[in-house]
Amino acid sequence: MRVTFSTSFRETMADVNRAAEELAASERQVSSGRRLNQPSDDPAAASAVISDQAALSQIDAYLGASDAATSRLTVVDTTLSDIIDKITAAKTAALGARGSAQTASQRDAAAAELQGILEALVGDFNAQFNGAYLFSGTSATTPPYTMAGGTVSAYQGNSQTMAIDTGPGRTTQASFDGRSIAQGSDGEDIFTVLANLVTAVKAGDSNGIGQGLDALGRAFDRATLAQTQVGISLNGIEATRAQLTAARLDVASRISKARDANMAEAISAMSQDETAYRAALAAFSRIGSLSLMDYLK
Amino acid sequence: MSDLLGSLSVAARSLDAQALGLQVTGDNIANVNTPGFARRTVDFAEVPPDTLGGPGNGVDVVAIRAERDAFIEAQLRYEQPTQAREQAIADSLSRIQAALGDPGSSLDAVLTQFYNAFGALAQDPTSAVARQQVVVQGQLLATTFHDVDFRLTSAQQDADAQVRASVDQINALGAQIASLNAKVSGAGGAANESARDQLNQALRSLSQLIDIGVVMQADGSATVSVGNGRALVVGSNAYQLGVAPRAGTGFVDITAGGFVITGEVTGGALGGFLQVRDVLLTDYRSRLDDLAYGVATSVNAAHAAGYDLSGNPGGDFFVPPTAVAGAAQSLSVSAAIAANPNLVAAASTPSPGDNGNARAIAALADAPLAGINASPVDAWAGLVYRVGTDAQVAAAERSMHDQVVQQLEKLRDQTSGVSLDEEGANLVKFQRAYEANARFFSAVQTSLDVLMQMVGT
Repeated sequence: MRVTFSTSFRETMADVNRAAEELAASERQVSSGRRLNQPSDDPAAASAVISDQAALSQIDAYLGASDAATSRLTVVDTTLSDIIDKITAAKTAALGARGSAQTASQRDAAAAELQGILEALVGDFNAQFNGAYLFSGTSATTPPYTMAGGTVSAYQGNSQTMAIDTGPGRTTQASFDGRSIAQGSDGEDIFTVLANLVTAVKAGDSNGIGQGLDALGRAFDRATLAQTQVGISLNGIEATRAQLTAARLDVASRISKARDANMAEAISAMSQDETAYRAALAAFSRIGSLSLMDYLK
Repeated sequence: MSDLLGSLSVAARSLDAQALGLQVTGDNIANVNTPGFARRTVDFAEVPPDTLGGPGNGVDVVAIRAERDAFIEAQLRYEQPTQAREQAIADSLSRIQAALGDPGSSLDAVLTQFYNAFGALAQDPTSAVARQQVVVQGQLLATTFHDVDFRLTSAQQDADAQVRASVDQINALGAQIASLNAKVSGAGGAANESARDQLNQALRSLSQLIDIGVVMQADGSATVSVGNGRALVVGSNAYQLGVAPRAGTGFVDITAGGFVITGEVTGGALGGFLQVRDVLLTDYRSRLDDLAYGVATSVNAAHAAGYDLSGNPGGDFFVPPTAVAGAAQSLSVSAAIAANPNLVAAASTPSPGDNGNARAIAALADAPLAGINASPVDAWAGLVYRVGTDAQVAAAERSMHDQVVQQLEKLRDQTSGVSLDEEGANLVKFQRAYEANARFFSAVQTSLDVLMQMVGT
């Protein structure tokens, strides 16, 4: 078989080029830290990385939503605590004012305290988070109760609630129907009850005070129930958050496995390719170094 | 009968012949790096004697031949187009891959951010900041679609430019082949080995540009055809290929003799560029358009089912695309919403604090789009997978065909290549023969001198 100079040249050149191409690819892996620098490196892995990145982003969105829901519910919780405290204080004042041993001024003082509690409760029910009313149902721009000239309006919100997605398939209620706490299934809301109680205390009306105390007791139960439910929601968010964090770690490591290079392997491959390239270059420099022409005089 | 004077002319002729041998060897060595060169060999033949049984009359040069293997040349012309085609496709696709961006931080990231913006709006539907963010993300999504579509369109225009340039090159080569045909088939053409070499080289270069059918005629000329037997070169006549713009896109069709032959060109670099421009990129762009159309339509449908901050029913979020084709390029957030984010329909009832619709739109991130049956991000992942696989396949095919062509070139070299060792040996051969013949000449000359001395005075 005839071997010509141009055959040797062309074949060795092709080998040098191939070795250089492989060396460049390994160097790229080492310098970028990735085995997936373009989709053609591993199309299936590229496609999987895209889907996984989207999943990661969604988990992060849920975590953000959990934070937002937690903030909102913490405000609700604090407000409900305050409402419960106020109702307790109202009960104490009303109890103290009952009985024939009370003087008019003592009853007036109790009535004034009850009036103060009424006004404070309006403020509580009108609690806001970032400018949106928390106890108005979904009418977040309308305050649930307004006070005008000493009288409290009827409930101005609605009974729908708004929920936030805090995890896959998990929702958390984030706004509340104020009426269900203030009035529930009673005939009068707590403001009317308190207003009647003020009148009853001033007049020393034991029956009236008794009815008011009963109504306050029911309001206390409703507020405590609401607070318990908020507490359950907050716990639920924490539990979901723990699951989400674990899931996030899984997805992130899946992405890394598909996309990132194993540095030890990549560096060892790079030095192997470098050796191969060096050998190819050395072989190339030998072509044509031996020739019959050297021996002819 | 001896004939001293005749011997002189024998010696002279043989010196010429050996000198010619040296010259041919020198020509071979000089052309060791000339592409397409086939090594020349000298055919010697004995000049027959004047009378039977007498001594021969020396050596004569019958021909200077080129060593060629027509079969290998034909095989190379057959294999070259596929290799060149896959090369063209692989090169174009590696640029297009770069246009798709990094997996995880390209259009898919912007899509996820867009749906997440609606999720953030759901957490606080009355927040002006959240509403503004939804509009901003919508505009960013539209811009990103424009960018990707622009890059794909630019790649198509690049491929079109390459098609035009290839046609020009093909026509130039066709003209060259026609003039070489004239030289080879004309007067003295049979001995014009250098013209034949150039003809082979031109045919080889042409086969890299387009798949051709070559029939070598008896007179050495080549009849070249393209596509389904359309004549490109017949004898010394070259028929040019033309380009005709297509309506609507401005991309060109290939014409031969007035007929459109674009579909008939499948090989060579031209075939590769046509494949990239007309099949691959068209597929990628239509997938992108499907995605944009699907996203715009599904978001608009969900948006229209909701209520904005004032309790009015939501309008279109995106300007409704007129057709699937061009949806990616024309995607934009409706001007009304861009001007007034309070028109974003976050509520599913006419209450400002309701976030049901915002949640519904956020949930569209996972919902399969109509017609594509994949979620938006998965549809994008499908496009990236398609491009990646096409690039990988093209690179593998090119590598495989490179090997085949390399093997064929090695076989060609075996017959036609110049081996410097062989030529070095030939130098010695002709040099020694020349020396020996020169000695014979002086021997004859000395004998003649003796004869003259005998006869004279």
